[in-house]
Parts: sequence; structure tokens; C-alpha cells
Amino acid sequence: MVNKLNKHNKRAQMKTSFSAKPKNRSATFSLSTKRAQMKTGFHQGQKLHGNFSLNAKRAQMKIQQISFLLIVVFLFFALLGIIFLSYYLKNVKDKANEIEEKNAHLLVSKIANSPEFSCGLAYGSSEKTDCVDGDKVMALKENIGKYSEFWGIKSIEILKIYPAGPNRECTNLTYPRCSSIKLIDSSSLGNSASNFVALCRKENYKGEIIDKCELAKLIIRYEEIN
Amino acid sequence: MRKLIKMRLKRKGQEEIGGFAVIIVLVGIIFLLFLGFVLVKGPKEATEDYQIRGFVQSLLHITTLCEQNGENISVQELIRECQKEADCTYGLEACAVLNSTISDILEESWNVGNAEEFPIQGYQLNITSYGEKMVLLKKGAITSKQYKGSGQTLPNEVEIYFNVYYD
Repeated sequence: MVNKLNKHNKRAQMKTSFSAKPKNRSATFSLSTKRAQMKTGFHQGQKLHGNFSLNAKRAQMKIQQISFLLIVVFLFFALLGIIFLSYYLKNVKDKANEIEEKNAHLLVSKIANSPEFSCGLAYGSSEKTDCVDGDKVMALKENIGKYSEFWGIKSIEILKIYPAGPNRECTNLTYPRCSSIKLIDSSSLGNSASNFVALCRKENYKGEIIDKCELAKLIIRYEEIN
Repeated sequence: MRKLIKMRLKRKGQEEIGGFAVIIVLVGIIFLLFLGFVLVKGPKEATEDYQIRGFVQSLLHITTLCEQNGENISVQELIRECQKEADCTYGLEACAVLNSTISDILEESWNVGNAEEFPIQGYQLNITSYGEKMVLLKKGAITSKQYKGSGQTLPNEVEIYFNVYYD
């Protein structure tokens, strides 16, 4: 009986020994967590480290996204700027050419009414506008070398339109039975401007000096703005 | 907890989409402004056509075939004679000579044709005396809205109008 009691006590002690030694309990708990960690292959520190690296990667991705967006936006605006600039520059060039053209037209009128070309009072009591004295122009043709840089243009030509005459250049021999008077004749091409003029001359008709005016075009060539 | 994270993620996504939409709208507005600036040009400055004015001026000085007192008269003088319904030497009617002379001059000066070779589609010259028709010459398509013209007033209420129509 005594033996039976001792055995029971020992069992009870063994049962209660767990609660009596808390240190042993924690050891078994850490052991079990270690086992769990071993099973899952995941450590507490490793988990923290993993979360951190994942966040860092996400942040990096975000920075990359923003920088990519910024680059795209910058490129877009740069492209827009280039298009705008080219359009603006083209407009400036067109405007310059337009002004040049206007100046050329004005120059044509100015040349036609300049003392070297104009009819003056030789063909009537009043001064005629857009009237070129053919005889004067032929005299000027002889001395055109002195005027080569005077008007700052590449060529001056007077082309007869009505009545149509023989298609040849006017010289001292062919004048007035000719179709064009070339004053300054440059081989290089350029923009041209023209205006209608009355080309007048004095003619001997049945022993009398009469005025004869024909329709002609005064054509000038000038350098184009590139 | 999961729901909270999901909600946060959803809100973040919505914010990003919103930002993207704002950028797209901004870029669109800028693009439209640019397009408007490029396409809408200001009213073109009305330029005086020197050629047409020069033509009318020169036309008046041209010597015609109409002879009076042993001298060939100019177009301007012929208009005056036509107004008086006078005749030239050799029995030619001044108005008939005026009509044929101006017609020939126009034919030689203004080439009316297709747009590629000649941009001029037509022309019309009208000479009136006291508001009444004296000479009316026209050629080609004169219905085009784009035209340039010049007018000249002479003594005795004679008016000359010349319009050139472009493509």
C-alpha cells in the first residue's frame, strides 16, 4: 500500500514538475518555435528584413515610374517646343520674304518713275506715272556699268507686250524693232517682281516726230532670303 | 486588416489614375491651344496689287490705231472720243477701235488658264461714262471670290474698273 502511494506521489510530482519549473517550459516553447521556424524556413529577423527589402523595391519602382513619367513629359514638351519654334521661324522667314517682295514691287514702281527711266514731260504736258522712256533706257544701257550697284538688284529687263514685235533683244541696231531691253543681266537666278509700264519713244512718221507708247513689263530680279 | 490594406491600395490606385488623368487633360489643353495657334491665322493683310494698278495706268498711255489730225491718239484720248461718239480717220468708229484695242491688250497681257500654269482664272474690265456702260470685257471664270482690282477715274465722269480673279 505504502509503495502504491509513493508511486502515485512520484507521478503527481512528475505531472506538477512542469508548472514548478517555468524555465523548463520556456525552453520547450522556444524549441517548438524553432522547430516551426525550421519547418517553414522563416526566421523572425528574416521576415523583417524581407518586408524591408520588398518596400525598398516598391519605392525604387515608384521612383522609376515618376522619373520615367517626368522624362516622357519633358520629351513631349521639348518636342512641342521644337515644333512651335520651327513654325515660328518659318513664319518669320515668310514674313521676311513677303517684305522683300513688297520692297521689290515698290522698287519696280520707283525705278519706273525714277529720272533715269521716266517719261517726264517729254510725252505730254503732264507727267505720266508708270511711263518709261525707251530712248532714255537705250542711252542708259550704254552706261549701265556705272549703275550696276545703284539699285541693289540682280537684273532689270523691259519686255514689250503690246503690240507684239519681233522676238529679239534690243540693241542700237535693232531698236525699236525688238522685244526686250536687258539692262543689268545677271546669270544667277532669284525672285522676280514685275509691273506694267508704258514704254514710250519718239518716232519719225511721214517726216514728223510723233510719240508712240507701247505696253511693256518692267521685270527685276532680286536675291531671295534663305 | 486585409480589407483595410485593400482599401488603401484601391485609394492609392485611384489617386494615381486621377493624377494621370489630370496630366492627360493638361497636355490635351496645351496641344489644343497649340493647334489653335497654328491653324487659326490672323486676317491676311489686304495688299494693293501694283500690277493691276500699273496695268490700268499704262493702258491709258498706249498709242492706238485711231488717227486724228494726222496723229495716233492714246487710249485715254480714244475713250474721250468714244464718249463723244466720234470717228477716227478712215471712217473707223472710235468705240469699235477702243473695244478691239483693249481686247487685244488684255489678251496679250493676262494669261487665263489652269491653276497650275496660270493662277489667273479670269478678268473683267469695265469702262463707264456717267454711270453707263461704255466697254465691258471679260474672260474666264469671274465668279471666284478671290480677286484683286483697281479703279481709275478720268475727267467727264469716266470710270475704269479692272478686276483679276484668282483660283
